[in-house]
Amino acid sequence: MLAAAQQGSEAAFTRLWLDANPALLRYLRVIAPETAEDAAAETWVQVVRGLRRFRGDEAAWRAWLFTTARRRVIDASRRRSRRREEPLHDAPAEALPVTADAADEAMERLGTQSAIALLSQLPRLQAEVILLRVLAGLDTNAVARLLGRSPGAVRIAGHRGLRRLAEILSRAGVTL
Amino acid sequence: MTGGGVSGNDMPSLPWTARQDASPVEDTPLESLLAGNGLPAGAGAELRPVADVLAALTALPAGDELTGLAAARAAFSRRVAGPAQVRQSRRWRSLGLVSRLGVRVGAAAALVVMGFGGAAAAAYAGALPTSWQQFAHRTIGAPAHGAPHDSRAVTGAAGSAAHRPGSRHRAHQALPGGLSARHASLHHTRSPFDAGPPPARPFVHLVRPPIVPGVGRWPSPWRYTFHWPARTEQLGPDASVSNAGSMRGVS
Repeated sequence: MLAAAQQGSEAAFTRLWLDANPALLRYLRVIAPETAEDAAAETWVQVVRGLRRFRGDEAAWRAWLFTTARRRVIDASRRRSRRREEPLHDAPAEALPVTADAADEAMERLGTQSAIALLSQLPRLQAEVILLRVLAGLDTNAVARLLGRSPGAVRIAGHRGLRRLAEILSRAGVTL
Repeated sequence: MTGGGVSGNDMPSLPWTARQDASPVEDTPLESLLAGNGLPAGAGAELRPVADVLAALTALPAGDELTGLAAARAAFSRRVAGPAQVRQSRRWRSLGLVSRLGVRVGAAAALVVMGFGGAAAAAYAGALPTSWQQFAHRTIGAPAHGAPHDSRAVTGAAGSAAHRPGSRHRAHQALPGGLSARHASLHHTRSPFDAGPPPARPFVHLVRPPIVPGVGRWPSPWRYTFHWPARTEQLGPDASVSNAGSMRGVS
């Protein structure tokens, strides 16, 4: 499919887009909720621009796609550098804002939007690791390369993120 | 009292464990969740909502997640599909030889062309060895070996040199029979006021008028002197020798 798209097959590219864009958009809605759609569109423009030069398998394709998206987000945030965000990597779970809306929504219907809203409450690194591993299907090493972290740091961040998510859900009363 | 000299009251026994972030949740089910394998059997109940969240995260796409397809396809058509057709036609039109035969063959062909060009220039300059010069003389009309230098004047080197404004001196030296270019030009050139086309002459088609932007500033006789080869019918015997010299290369 990827080779066919590289040869110019629009049908193959459509299949690739349908397969990857929902996950890409969900990832972007967590790490850049305000500009997710724009970032996704810019990502696909970049991907189309370099599609013929891409070499690699399916995992490499997914890593390339999400790396491109992440760089688009970073570029956009640099352009809007006047708005400074505080890093939340080491914030304790108790200090995280737990919106009642997200918890209520998660209790009512555990849909995709609710899951995105819950993951948005995690620190950025933990949320990214979870999203890249679950949504993009990347292994620890690939995520480590993508994020510029060590595999150990990525593994720890993923585990901490899941634990923190369990705490948020337990405090919100989501028990199934 | 402790061994360090500090009273026991000053060393409160804190209920901290060695690992502050230690959790009752083990790493194995977490890793299984992150790998997309779901919750393993025997995992704690506190991880079940987390597994449901991750499952909801990978649910089927909703409608608003598929709205950018048209724009992406348009970009794809412009960048990948469109240029592919252009590239294909361009390949057939102009790059087919290179793409089929390869870059090496193309480079070899370019070298051959450059070699022949250099050899032809050397032949017209009379710089080739005797046998090669004779071969060039027979094939491409280069001057024969041992021919006087001025015999090449009209056909090649001097002929082209005479068409450059800055090479009057060379043209002066090149004309045969001791006839200077300036002297010859007074007799050879047509007057700009002559009517009718110039008569047919050999090798006229080999000499093109130069593209000189400021040609209009030149005096008219000079223009015609340097734009057209010498006319033989007004020169008499010397001029016929001149053209005979040029014809030697062809005959």
